[in-house]
Amino acid sequence: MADASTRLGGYGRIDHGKPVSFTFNGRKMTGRAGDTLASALLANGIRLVARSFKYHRPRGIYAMGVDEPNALVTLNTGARTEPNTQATTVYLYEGLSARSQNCWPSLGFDAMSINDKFSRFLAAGFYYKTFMGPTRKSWMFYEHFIRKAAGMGEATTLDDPDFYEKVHGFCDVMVVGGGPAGLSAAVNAARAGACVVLVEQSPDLGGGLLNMPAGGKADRWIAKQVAFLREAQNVRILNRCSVFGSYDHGSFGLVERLQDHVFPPQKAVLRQRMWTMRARRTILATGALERPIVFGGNDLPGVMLASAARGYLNHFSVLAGRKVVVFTNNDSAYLTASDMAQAGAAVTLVDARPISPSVACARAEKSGVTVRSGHAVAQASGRKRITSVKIAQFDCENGTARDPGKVMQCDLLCLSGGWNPTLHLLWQHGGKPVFDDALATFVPGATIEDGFSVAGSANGRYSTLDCVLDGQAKGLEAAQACGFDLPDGSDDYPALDLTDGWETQLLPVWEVCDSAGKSQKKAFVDLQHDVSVSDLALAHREGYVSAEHLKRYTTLGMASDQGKTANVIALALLAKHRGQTIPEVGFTTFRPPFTPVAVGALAGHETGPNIEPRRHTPMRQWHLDNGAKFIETGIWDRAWYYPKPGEDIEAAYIREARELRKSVGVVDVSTLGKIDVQGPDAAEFLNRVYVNGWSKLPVGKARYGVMLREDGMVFDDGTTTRLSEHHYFMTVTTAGAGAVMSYLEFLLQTCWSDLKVEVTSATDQWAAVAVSGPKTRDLLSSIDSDIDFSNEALPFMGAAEGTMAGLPVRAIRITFTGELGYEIYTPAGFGEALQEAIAAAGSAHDLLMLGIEAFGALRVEKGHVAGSEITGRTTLDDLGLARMGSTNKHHIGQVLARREALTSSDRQQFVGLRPVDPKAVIKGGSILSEPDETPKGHGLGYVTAMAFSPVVGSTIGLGLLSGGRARIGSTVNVVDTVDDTIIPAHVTTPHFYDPEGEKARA
Amino acid sequence: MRIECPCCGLRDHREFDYGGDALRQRPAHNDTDIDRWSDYVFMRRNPSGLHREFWQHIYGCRQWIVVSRDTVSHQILSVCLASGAHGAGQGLERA
Amino acid sequence: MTRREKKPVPDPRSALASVTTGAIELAAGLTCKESPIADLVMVSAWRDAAAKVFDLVGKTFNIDVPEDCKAESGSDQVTAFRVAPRRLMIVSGTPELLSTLRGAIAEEEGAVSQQGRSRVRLRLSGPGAAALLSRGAPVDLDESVLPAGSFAQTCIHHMGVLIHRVAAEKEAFDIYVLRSFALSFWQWLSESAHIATQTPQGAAALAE
Repeated sequence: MADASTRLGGYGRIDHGKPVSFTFNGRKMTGRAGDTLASALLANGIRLVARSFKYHRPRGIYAMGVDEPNALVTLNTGARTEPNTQATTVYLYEGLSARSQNCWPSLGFDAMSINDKFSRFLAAGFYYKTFMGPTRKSWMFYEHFIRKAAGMGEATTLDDPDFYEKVHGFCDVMVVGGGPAGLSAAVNAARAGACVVLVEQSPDLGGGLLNMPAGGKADRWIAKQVAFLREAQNVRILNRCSVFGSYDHGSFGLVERLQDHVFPPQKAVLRQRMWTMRARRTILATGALERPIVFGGNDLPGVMLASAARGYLNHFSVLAGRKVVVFTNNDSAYLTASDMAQAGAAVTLVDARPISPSVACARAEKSGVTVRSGHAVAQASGRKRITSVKIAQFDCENGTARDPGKVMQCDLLCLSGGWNPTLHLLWQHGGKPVFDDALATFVPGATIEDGFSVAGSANGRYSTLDCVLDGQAKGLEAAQACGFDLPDGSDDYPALDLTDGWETQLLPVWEVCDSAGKSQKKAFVDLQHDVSVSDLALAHREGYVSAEHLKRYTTLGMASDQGKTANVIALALLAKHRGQTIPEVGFTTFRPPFTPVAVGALAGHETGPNIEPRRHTPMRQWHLDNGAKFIETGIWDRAWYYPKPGEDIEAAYIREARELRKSVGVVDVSTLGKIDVQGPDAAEFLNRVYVNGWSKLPVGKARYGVMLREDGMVFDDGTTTRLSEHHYFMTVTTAGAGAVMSYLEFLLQTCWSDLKVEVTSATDQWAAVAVSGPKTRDLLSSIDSDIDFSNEALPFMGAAEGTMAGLPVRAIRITFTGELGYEIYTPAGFGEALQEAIAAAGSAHDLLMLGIEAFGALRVEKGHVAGSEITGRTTLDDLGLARMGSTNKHHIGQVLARREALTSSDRQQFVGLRPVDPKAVIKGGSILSEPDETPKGHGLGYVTAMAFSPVVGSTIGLGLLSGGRARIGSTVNVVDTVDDTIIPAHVTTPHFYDPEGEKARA
Repeated sequence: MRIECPCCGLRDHREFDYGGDALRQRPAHNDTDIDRWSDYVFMRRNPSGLHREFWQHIYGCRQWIVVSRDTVSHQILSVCLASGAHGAGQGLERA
Repeated sequence: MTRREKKPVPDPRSALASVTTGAIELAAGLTCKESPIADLVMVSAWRDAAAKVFDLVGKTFNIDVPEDCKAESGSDQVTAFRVAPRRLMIVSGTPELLSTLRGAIAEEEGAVSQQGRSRVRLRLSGPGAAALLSRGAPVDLDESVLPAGSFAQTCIHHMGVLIHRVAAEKEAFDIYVLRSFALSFWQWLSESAHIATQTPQGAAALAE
């Protein structure tokens, strides 16, 4: 049941003349432009807003900003549904639709509130204890229901329709927080000439000054600062922007909410922008958050923080109650009491301290407030909202309320237990908070991290004047640290003095116990996660004594509000249990984000196909125009197969592979890593890096080379051609190109800097095609060229430079397929033209377009090692290449390749596999096992690659098999553990086709 | 994280690739002792505190650098070119 | 036997031919177009020969030698970027750069690598050019930090780029990217500009 409207005319900074309609739980309501959803709900008399997480207790609006633990709602519907949104941070727009979550069938009657009756069984850590029997499987039965009951709002499964972008930002001084300290810090740093970024999470600048009555000195001062900052060329103001994380070396994560305050249109919009901001100096003017005091019934709707009540009145023009009790242990709540009384409420202020501050007290009483010092609120009562409190004499020594106490009717209870500086950004990378006994809170401490300073109430200053002056000092200091001079007349700065300091000290009061000193029932510490004082006591009793354990066992501080109103109180209570001081108890680690960040903002544009950029070969368009299907290999897009009408991939690649061995085929191999190696010591360098020798390689010849890692495993392979005495052209695998390049640079820059060798990546400089098949020579010779492709002029592993169809080319006679073949390289700008020239000449020679699927099948037939065998766990000998290793020179990996385990004979060795039944299909990844045994574990090895071989007439495989070479001639079982098949196969040499290499040498 | 590349200036970690522990002693290229190589390839001290490590400025000048960094506070104390001992050429001898 | 006629070398083709033939407008007044590279080489010097080689380059093209890895030096025809302590990337408006340099630099002093087709160059100019690049490049592109005539090697969306603020135009950059990434880079540029302008300010959003 809602109250009558509590909106006052003539108050606040909202636009009274601009009504805004919205719906809450299906009910249409009206607010004002400038309202948050929370202030609009309060203005409409709505007290019950949510149900708590575990016990489904009725909850109302508790705070005014990001510290709100209770008032979580789900906004919007469909793809823009946003659960778990604090109503206190949503700014009202026309057509906004919000609903309560975690309640069924309705907010008013929530069936799950029965949990509250069984709270004994649902205490902290209950899922480790209750529901654990009678059998071991019982938990899995209960878990199903508990899991369904857990959680708060429900997220949509539809794609996020909006855009997000990420931007890199740089500045000299970043000021976090646009309150009095932040504004003066920004203005003064800017006056000194620094490049300043001022970040404020709400739409308005002014911070805590906006809790004060509107239209006064404070507002005029704010307007002046803002006008200066808007004019200044060296200032950027980011409002509706949160700094959510502080990272190493002055890097910060910010999220700017660009369009969350307008009704989402049909089309996609740029919704949020994430900044990675680098600041040379950062001033945290992030203010302080008020904390409550704990007692029985302190979570009822109608209980809220005193500063929030004041802010709702003075900024949003909403009087949250008519019969108000203010319970405090410090001076600040007297302002709330006075303001609310002046607005027409009947206010009783209960001060736990024996003596009230005289000036504040006099002012309050003049406004009509009844002040009771030396008293405390012992209990709050009500069902779906607060109806009364019990006020009793307070014994400060023991923290107990003396019996009998007096019951007082009320409709609003405001709490103020003190203020905690908001310093998460300072402490997010290891800084330790320091406890200040006088302020009874954690403060920055004497030395803080390089590049940071703290100003204002975040720095323990509690009068406006102090905050402004502190901000000014820090602003000037930060600018100077960046190398700027103090501006002329820097002292002449209009500070704002509102004479609002504290007269008397705060009295630490964390919890009000009953007269026997016992904690009361339903005394909550972390409201969002329903963690009560009895949970803390339970955790301590069960031995979870460290702050880190306490947090995780009770889940205190782990909700989306990150325990902003709970953490310090919890540490104080833990200290009491442990009989230690608060600093002795320690603190849990602060981690980003300070407030929740949409995953979309973190992803920006990098989702789906945009997660990483694709690389394309120079012939991409030609492939597309000629019907190729593409596949992603790493970050390259490559032509996969060229299906004729009616062909699927299998039909296509088998045809391409079969026909190539009869005529000629061309495949795009531009993706190969290519490295230009030059210098007088180039041969020596290659000798050290490759297992085989290079000094005797004649100019104009190519050689296959294998490189090892330092641990003796095969790293990469490729063909290197000697172009001139000191100039080599190295190719490496497509996938390994980056790693090889970095490694060669590492060697030359760190260990072998005496070698005169330069390596330059040339992968993008050259387009390349591999042309192979019996008719290759005929085809290439028919193209207008000055290169003689005959066997005499260009023998196997030779190289020649010249032109083809007018294009500059380098031809290297090597083959991957085992047929007569040439790799033709041309500068990338001519790649397409080269492909066209070959295709044009090709029609007379039955030229095949070959994709990499067929290319792969051909290499399986030939038995070349490739990436699927160069796994980082195979040695030269495993791959059957031991003969390549030179013994006359030292090469990388040579020494550790001699390790016993790398030379044993039962290592997995490279072999071929041919199914006994020619119709059986070997699958890649299958396990190899003994023919007569049931397959177990990892077996004897596995299939690294397979293809249908037109030459053999069945599928064939390549594999790594324990003691493989000795098993050639015998059989093994090829076991597919996914499809549960066992295929007997002959173990053969991997070289199924032309094992002597006669074709390539033709 | 930001690293001051001696050639290019203060840059974001995105531009670099981590290159491993620079505290290790690499054996000479023609050293055949299996224990010394094993030590170099497999053993690490993994200190809590001051660490020297290789990074490569892969998206910048492609130079390998040696960074002294505190593994607890992440503070970077010094950066120099890995090839610095041999001089880097005109205008950058200091690096 | 018929004598084969020497065919003229055809023009190299653009990596961006499938997406653009001219300039495109990304936002109000902000345009991007390919600026073809006639020739490009990497010149590297051996350790003790750096000064000599750089001097030779300077004399060959009548330009100053770049002092550090931040400022370019050049003339109308040739721009030299010192991309590493002992390496220059030299871009020319006319082809045949390689042969000119190969003659000048001996093998004992340094190496010259032909890279004329390895990069694609884009000219991005107009209000918001720096702001657009800041959607991807983690470097400060402000004029005070990257003045006209200076360059930075960095990455944009996992693609290595060289960003050169050109003196010839106001708020204009030449961006060099590896050829195999050209299409992806073009796509990144146009999509980022499109997204940045899906706000109430629309096409003017980038310039502010």
